[in-house]
Amino acid sequence: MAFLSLNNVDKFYGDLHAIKSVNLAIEQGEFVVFVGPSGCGKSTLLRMIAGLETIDGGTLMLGGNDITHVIPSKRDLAMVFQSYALYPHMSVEDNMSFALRLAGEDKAVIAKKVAEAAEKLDLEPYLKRTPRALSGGQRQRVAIGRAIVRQPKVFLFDEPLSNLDAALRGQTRVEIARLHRELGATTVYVTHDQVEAMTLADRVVVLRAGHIEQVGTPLELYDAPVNKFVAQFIGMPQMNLIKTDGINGVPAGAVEAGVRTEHMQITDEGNARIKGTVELIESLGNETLIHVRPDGADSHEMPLIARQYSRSELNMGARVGLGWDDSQAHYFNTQGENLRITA
Amino acid sequence: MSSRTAGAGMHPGWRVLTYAILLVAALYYLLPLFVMLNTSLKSLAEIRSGNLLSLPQDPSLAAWSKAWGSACTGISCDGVKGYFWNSVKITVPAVLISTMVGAINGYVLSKWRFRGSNLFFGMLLVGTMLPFQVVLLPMARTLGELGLAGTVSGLIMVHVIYGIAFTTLFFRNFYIGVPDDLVRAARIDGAGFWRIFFRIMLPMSLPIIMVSLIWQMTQIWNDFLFGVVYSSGDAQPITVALNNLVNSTTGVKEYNVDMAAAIIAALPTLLVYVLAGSYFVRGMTAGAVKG
Ligand SMILES: Nc1ncnc2c1ncn2[C@@H]1O[C@H](COP(=O)(O)OP(=O)(O)O)[C@@H](O)[C@H]1O
Ligand SMILES: [Mg+2]
Repeated sequence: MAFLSLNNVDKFYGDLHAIKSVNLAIEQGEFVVFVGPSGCGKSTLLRMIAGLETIDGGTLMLGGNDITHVIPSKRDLAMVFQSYALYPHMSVEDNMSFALRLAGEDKAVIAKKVAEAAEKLDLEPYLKRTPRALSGGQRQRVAIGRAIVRQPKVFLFDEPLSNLDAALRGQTRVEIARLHRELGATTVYVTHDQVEAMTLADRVVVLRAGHIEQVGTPLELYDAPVNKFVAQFIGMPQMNLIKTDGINGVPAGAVEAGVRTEHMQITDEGNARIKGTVELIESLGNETLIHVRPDGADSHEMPLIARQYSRSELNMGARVGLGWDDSQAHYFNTQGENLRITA
Repeated sequence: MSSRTAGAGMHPGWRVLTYAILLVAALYYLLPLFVMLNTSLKSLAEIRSGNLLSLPQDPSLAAWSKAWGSACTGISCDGVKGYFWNSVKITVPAVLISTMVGAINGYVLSKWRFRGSNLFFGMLLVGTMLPFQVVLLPMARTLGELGLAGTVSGLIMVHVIYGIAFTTLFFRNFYIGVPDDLVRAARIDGAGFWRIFFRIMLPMSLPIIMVSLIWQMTQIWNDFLFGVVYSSGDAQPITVALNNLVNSTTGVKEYNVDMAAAIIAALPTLLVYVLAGSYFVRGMTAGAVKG
């Protein structure tokens, strides 16, 4: 039996069915990441696990106990927020110890736990400061420290890195990964950033409009997306989508082919599947992205992109052919389902 | 903000003109206070012979002590001191209670919204626009039913009820600017409704508490209408007593005593502004700055 499990969980805001009968089983020690576009219900689902939003249907189990209607502080979990949510009038130390003090924990024990967490997060010099006197990165570390101090069964993160600048985001991401390794704590992490999802997660949950599209390891999602939505959501640049009418050798029922940029091959025009004109070449040093506008395509359509790891001899305006190996392509039917997976 | 420090980059001539205008405006506003203070320190004879602006030749506090302890206000002749303490007894509890209730209301309306809470808030806002006169009769009736007519407690209740619309508005708008995540974090940390209020929200509310205290203090201390309508005799606040004192005709009009009494009546609000005025300005603009 799973450590944390959501069984047919529902959430309504008035008429809005925000979470639609979600099922998910999370193992102890697992790092699970919720991704999806803005407004798909990631935060809502996380808050339902936390007990901050009521669960309108289904059950939530943690460690064999039904916690569907248990109040947040009795669920034995801790949460880190995007806005840090530090108590502005309390010192770093008091922020970290607030939960333990409310729980009536022994003073010496509190001091020890705070000291340990501060050491892990390099916060020792700042314990007496108020959050106002800290940088964004330090504030986020305090928020993480506040969660660690409680030694909860589950850590919940809601877009913890979104307020940090790019460099700090990368650094803090590595730090969160390290903490997870050290503490081995079960973690549910919400983000809209697929790089965070791919690098941190044991398993990724892709959400759309309140329901789960797919659950899998990062590479499973990358290699075998169940539908067009997941295929396009995971991977940068996005997977190329090509209308299949007029192209030979595609499976029955397919209306679109999905080919990742690194599987798109530039060939001579000859009898290539698609012919077109090079519109842009992005040379990034380690890789080159070649944008090709297929013949007959509207100018507002996305160009097709081929990625190669060698420098390109091509010039803009050159005529080229595009092709792909069918074993690496995905074919989608009219419902957007991946024929290779569903078949 | 710093790029607009006073007068920077301004032609010296303009600067002189600016300061001159400000100075004239300041004098214009200070003049009445000066005249009052000046007159209160003069004897009646000197007032009759001299001019308003000439300084007292023989300054004396006699008018002050008469105003405080023995001037006639209507039928009794014990000065305004009893009424001053009435005002204190009305103002202090009314200010504290209305501020506290406003803080709790604002907390609920911003952080624990319920079905219809926006409607509730909308109706409360109407309360800030109601003229005093509109509530006079219904309130008199209510006080009568409660047996509080003509008492200090009754007046406290009236001021609390009337003030709650304002204090709720202050606190609600302040708390709207406090991130909801703070309340969520506290709930996960094990704090409930009251603990979040007392240990998280109130300690960060100093600026808006000051605004509410100063606003309410000014309104209630300076109130005349509720005072004159809902209190009688010994329970009247100082504003009403001042009116009675000025209008009691016992022979000659004692301008020096009137002035002294008026300053006594205005002193507490003046002091509050001098001591806490900067908090008021800071509190009114606090919402604009995120912690
Ligand atoms: N308190 C609320 N009341 C009404 N609707 C809400 C509330 N919270 C979230 N929603 C709606 O639920 C949906 C999911 O929101 P959210 O979980 O915040 O999305 P995400 O975190 O994935 O961006 C959105 O359509 C949002 O407008
Ligand atoms: Mg969100």
